[in-house]
Amino acid sequence: MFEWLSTTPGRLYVIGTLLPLAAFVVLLAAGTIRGLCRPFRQQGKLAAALYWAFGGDQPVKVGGYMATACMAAAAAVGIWGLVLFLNDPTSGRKHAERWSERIDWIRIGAFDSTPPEVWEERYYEWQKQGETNGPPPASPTAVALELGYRIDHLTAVVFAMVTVIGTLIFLFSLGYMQEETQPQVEDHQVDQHSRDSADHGSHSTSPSSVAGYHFTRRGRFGRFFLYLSLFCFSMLNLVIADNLFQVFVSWELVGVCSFFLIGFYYERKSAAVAANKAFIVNRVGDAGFLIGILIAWTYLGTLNFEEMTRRVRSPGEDSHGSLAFANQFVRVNAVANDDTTTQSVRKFQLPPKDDPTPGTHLALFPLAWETPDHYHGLGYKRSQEQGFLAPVNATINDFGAIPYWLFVVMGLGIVLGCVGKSAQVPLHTWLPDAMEGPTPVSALIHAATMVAAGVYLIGRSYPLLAPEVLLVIAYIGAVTLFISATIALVQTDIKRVLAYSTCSQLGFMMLALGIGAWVAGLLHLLTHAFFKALLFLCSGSVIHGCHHEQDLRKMGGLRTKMPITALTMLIGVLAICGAPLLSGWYSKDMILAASLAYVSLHPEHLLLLALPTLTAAMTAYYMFRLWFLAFTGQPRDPQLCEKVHESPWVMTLPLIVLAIFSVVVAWGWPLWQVEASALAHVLHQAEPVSVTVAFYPEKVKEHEVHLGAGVLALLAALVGAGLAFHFFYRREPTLARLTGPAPTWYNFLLRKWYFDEVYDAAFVEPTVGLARFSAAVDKRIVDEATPAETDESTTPRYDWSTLDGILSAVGQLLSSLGAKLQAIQTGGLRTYVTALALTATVLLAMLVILTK
Amino acid sequence: MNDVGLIPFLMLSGFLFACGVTCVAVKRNAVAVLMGVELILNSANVNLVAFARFTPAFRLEGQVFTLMVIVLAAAEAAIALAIILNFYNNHATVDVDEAKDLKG
Repeated sequence: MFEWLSTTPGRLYVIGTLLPLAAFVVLLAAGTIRGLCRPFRQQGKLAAALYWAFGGDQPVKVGGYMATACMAAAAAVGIWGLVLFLNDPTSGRKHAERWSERIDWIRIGAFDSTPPEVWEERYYEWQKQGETNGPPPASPTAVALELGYRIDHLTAVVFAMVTVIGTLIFLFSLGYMQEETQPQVEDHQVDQHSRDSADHGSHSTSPSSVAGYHFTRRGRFGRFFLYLSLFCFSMLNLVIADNLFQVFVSWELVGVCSFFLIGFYYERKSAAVAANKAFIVNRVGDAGFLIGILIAWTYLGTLNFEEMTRRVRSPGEDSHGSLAFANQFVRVNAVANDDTTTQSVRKFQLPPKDDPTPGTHLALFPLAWETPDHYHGLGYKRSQEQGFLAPVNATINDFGAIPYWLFVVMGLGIVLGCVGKSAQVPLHTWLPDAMEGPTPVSALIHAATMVAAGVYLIGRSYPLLAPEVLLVIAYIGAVTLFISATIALVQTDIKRVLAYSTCSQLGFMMLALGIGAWVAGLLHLLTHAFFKALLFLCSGSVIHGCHHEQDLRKMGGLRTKMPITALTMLIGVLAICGAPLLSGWYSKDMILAASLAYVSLHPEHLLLLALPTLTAAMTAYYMFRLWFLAFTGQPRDPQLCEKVHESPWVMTLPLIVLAIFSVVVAWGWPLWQVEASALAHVLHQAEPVSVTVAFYPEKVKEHEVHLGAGVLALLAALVGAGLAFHFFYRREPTLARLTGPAPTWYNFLLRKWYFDEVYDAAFVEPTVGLARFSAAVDKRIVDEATPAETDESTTPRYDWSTLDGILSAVGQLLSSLGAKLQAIQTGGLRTYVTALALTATVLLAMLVILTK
Repeated sequence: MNDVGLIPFLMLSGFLFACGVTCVAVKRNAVAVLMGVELILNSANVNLVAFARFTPAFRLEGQVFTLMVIVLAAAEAAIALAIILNFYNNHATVDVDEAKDLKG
């Protein structure tokens, strides 16, 4: 039964992916049956039995336990898989066979059953004849969307991270969502008369302001875990996917799950609006992603990551031995093909050596030849002198060429998708609003799943991104990390500070990926996942303890009331600031070292160093500000502080586990050397070769400047933390000082650089205006008092002034025409015959006259 | 006989046809209408026979068609007279203008 474990252990990951899906399906089926039986529970015995079996009026807790158990099993599988993978002795093709599989999902177009070997032979014959005897033989044009998985070091590590963090968040939710297990839940934040709850930044309004209206509903414990399970399944499927299309499917599933979860309290208007916003803003990014996928599909002919890489980058070797220019983009120029026998074939040539301008096209390499003795690759000498031929509709087994600008657009499209998902400027506005969801959801979105997807995808599709695209990524990241950090400085909602901090940290990752620090960027993704999950769950614990008070200004002095939360959160804060020996230190140091190396080689991109260094200081400032405001000093709202209590063990246990992870996850030996980090070494195994090819000087430089960068980062963090210590600990913050009038720049930051306002004015208002205008055009203005058209005494009124009126008028005209024609149809035989005879006469007369 | 040519036959046919159509169009008596229809059919027969005589390629076909039409006319007359008889039984008249029961 378990033979597959020794031959294809990669299937473990498929099982791990399907476990949360199983939980989802079971919960969905149970909920559906319960809902269907509910109306008949009084009538039929069977319906009543089913209704009560699947929960009845009381939301069942067992669903949540089952989902958590499934997730824990997935985590066990993930860790087991990681151990197996890291200890796998095989390599090369054998390794790939063990850890990846793919099947056709949807086949498109006609299938040529010619085996590749036969075709390869034909092609070889054709090539031997001198390539001038007509066009090359048609290659097998198998086109199919595939399902598949491919496990490498990155996948294995991210899979383990997602499942472990997911399990802890599920466990935390069991405690946090406790009140959802009640048959009646009172939601104080639903305001019947709220008009402007969607207004940004109005979340500090206390629930008491809507007193007098109490909304009650059934608890949604099962539904919460249903969504969480689907969310985790989507993310896991995205992680193990081996092709862009499967990623896209999971991508959209992640998007729709975030929509469900952000809008979990959908009776609150603000939650519904935030869910819509997240979904719509993500659609903008997804449109770009789809464009990228379609370009890849059209030109590269495959969506499999590994095949796409082999298609766009020059091969490592051919029949003449290793190539000096392996794993690079080869840019060529189109030249005239003056051979008349090969009309359907285009010809490309490398630019001459003395011409510095790069070619206009990117050469695409065939996938068919894997055996070096048959592979006559694009030898440099040959392609420069003779050029190479590519069919107009090149398939994956032909040489081909894609216009370089289109290739850049493809990369930018994929990046736009990632920008949307990972909440980078300019599509970052949805993430802070996503705080409307329950806090465990925020933790899941911010740490393990949704926002990680964007960074992960850039890491995955890295070899496909042109240098121009990478520079765009770097700048997007740099701008995002700076803007978000400045906004986080002044936010007063505990979750919003963390939300902007997430944006900012994701900016760090993007920046790192953009400047070629692939390992550093993804290491930060992993370490950040742990400490951001910790921070969010801590804030959840605080919110839970404070009875859903999220305003930092009203907290203070919570340390004695909730010691475990305070301590674990301090660890999280230290980790995110980059305190030495905590996980965040390793990744952030690496990123700063990479940017220092990059800037010292490219001084014109000074911003890519200045912004992250400045932001490192700001990160320390806003994180310590949050911690001091919440946990130290005197309680600023004694009434609130009275009721505060430490959370139950089911919530503190995940905190402790995550705190331990946040400290040790990046450790290696010796501890004090950033470059010794074991996790980084594991990631390094998965680093695409193209990174080293493209960023070799930077990599060398990075080792030189590492110490300097470390000192720089530490100094920055110390300055930030010191400032926070001064303002929020030594000078006791008072409620008056925190809520008093603020300078303009403060308000500017508080309003989030007016991004929302600008988007409202630029996109939302025109759209709404257009909709209003269309509605006005569409509406009939004729008042209802005018007699209806059916009244035969009056002629029908045609209203040509509105669109609706025009359409109605056409209908009315036809209708009245029919009424008139009705009179002609008498049924009288003689009339008909007369008409027939006359018509025939007229037609014959016309025929005679016209044909004369 | 051979000197007559095709045209007089066609003229006769056209005359008969016109008479038939006029008869169908103006007569209110159903039996008269039926006679008009017979005239139309027979004008067609004259046409067919004439063309069969003067067009060597259609020598046989024209005559066969004529026989066909005669049979058809007989069948049609039988059914039509039956309808007229029934109509008379129900309405005590054979005026076609009175046949308006099915008008919507």
